[in-house]
Amino acid sequence: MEDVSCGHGAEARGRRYSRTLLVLGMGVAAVAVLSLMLGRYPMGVTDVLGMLASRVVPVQGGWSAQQESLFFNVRLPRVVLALMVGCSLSAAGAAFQGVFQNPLVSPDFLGASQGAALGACVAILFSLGSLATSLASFAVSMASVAIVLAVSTRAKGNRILATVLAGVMVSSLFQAGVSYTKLVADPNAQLQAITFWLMGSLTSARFRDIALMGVPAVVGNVGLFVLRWHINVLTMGDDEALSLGVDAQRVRVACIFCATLVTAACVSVTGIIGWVGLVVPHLARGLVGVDYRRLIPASMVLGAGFLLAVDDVARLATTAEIPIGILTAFVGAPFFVRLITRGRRR
Amino acid sequence: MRATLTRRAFSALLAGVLGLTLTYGLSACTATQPGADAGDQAQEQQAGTRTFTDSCGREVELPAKVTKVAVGGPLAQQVLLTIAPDEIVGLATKVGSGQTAYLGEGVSELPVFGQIYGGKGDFNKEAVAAAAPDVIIDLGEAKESIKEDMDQLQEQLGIPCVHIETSLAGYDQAYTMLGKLLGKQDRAAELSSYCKKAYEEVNGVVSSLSEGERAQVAYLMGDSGLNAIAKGSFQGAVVDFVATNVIEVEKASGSGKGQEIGLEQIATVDPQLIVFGPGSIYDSVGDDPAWADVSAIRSGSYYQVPGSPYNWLSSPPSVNQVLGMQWLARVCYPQKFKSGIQDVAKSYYKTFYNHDLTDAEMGELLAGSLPKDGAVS
Repeated sequence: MEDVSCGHGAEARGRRYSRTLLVLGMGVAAVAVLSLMLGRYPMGVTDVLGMLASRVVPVQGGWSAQQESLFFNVRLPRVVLALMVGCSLSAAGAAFQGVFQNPLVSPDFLGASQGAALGACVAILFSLGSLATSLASFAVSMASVAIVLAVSTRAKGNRILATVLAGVMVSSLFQAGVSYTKLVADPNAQLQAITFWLMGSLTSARFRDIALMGVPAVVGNVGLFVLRWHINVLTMGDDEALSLGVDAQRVRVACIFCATLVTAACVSVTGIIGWVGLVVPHLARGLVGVDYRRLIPASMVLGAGFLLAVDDVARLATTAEIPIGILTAFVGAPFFVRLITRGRRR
Repeated sequence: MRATLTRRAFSALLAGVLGLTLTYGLSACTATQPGADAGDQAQEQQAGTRTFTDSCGREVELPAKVTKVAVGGPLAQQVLLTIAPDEIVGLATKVGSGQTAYLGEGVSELPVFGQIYGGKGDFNKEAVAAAAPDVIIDLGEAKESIKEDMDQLQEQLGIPCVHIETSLAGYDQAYTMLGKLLGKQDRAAELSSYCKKAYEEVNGVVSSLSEGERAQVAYLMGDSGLNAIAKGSFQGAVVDFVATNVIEVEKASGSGKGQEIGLEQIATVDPQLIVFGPGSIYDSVGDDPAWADVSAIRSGSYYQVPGSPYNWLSSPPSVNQVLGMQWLARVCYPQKFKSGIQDVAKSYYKTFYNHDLTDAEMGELLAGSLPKDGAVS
């Protein structure tokens, strides 16, 4: 917990933070540009730049129609989606960890993912099509967290504890719902679709999906960015917060709302992608410290780069895709272990 | 102090990831370089295009001559390896070492692109596009969203995508369509007429049976033999066609591994005849006291489904079913057929894989698969 006072130390930290964020930002930009260049389908650097430019200014290039189709319909939407999802899940994870003062919390802690999964499964069960599946998933995800908050406000005693317990309850209830839909699904068609959805993947990225989730994702991310100072205050305790003129409960609800908004938006399009929201905030903490004014932006940038890089491996490593959930765990878990053990030794 | 150290670790990680990405990307680029070629080819071929209508009624523009095809899934892979093995540019799933003896050595060197449908969802669009196939072919039962899926994939890749429906009774029609699509009408006619004849022969026998004459069969998988391919399952279509599957569950799983049931349930329905999947307890079940009271085991009416290059009955249920139905019908009703299983196997492997089965191969394939005296009839 860093203080709000100013001094030489704080100033130096601020400078270092700016520099770190700048380096991170440039790193992510570099990975993004590289990701656009790289793919199983060969495209020249100049072609890629030309195709990007052709959407703004009239440029004639030597690229083929197929290259253009693949670039704009497959590669570009996937890169954009990876950036958005990585950014969103990491920001939401950081915010949740702050709100609940618990380092093991991830963005779907209050049932957002299970809610999204249930919504999607039911939509698949009724064969509603991919658009309706995304919408249902988003709606049920938001609803699940709304239920958690409604339960916790009626609970007696410790608010945070009540929220956590309500989250666990709703998660497992919705998990049971998902299992039930799998049980009654037509095993030849729907069950496969459900399994695939639950696995989480960026392969189905399309601009329509990005446009759809973009609005809630941007709103939620901006909200978390604005609230980042308030999360700092939350970490001091409710009474301390009140003395600073902050209504802790209201801030908590606002944070949970924003974090859920971005999580629901992501999960409804990509399915459940684990680890990112849990690990990235910790990595970011190692870089910029525990001050949420810095941690939230750093998590956003780092998360975007992390998921993009991991997804690059998913689509480039072999001729068949590697499911991204496997890779985020493979990359995230060992790094996480190292992070924990290093902290312990000191 | 802490920040510096982790930052160094982070830089190392970032550098590592960048390096890795770069290496993979470059190797991918150098390994496959059809980019410019593909474009030229497409332009050349624009002169001779034709329209093909697939099973879901989609009209697709195809080059006059199709020389490279990609497969949408394991069902399509199995069928296309029989009609157009040299045109396939990549596989949906890996081909095992045991399969190459029948499918040809070259097949195992093809890249694996993953499958459009199925739980894995590992279809790598860019890799497929880089192989520059003239058409992507998906076979099998039509999913509800098939039209939308095919249209979307076609739009994204700029490569024609077609779906051709297959069913137990309709492999002849599927081959005829494929023949038209690939410009291989002669080969298609050969395969198509085999499928038609085989189906009609088996259908002639099983449709003349009364309900009481139909064999009461269980199809069991897994090393404990307690995973059943239940009645109505996608994987058990041959069993349902040829005989009566006695294992009934509320919701038959479509998994090739079947679904778990108990020995008690098997004993209750007491199948007259049991078919075990490859790698099951076939070898030891005869000495297992737990199974001793099951009629099929006691009477020796249990068999192992032949498994190379594909299981004859399922996993995936594709044109292997045409062979499987002839086998299972002969196992269940041996007196009703003039030709034996060996003859059927020989002609199938010759017709579909252009492979002459040796006696050694035949012995290995049919170990545990031949009708025994006193089998149910």
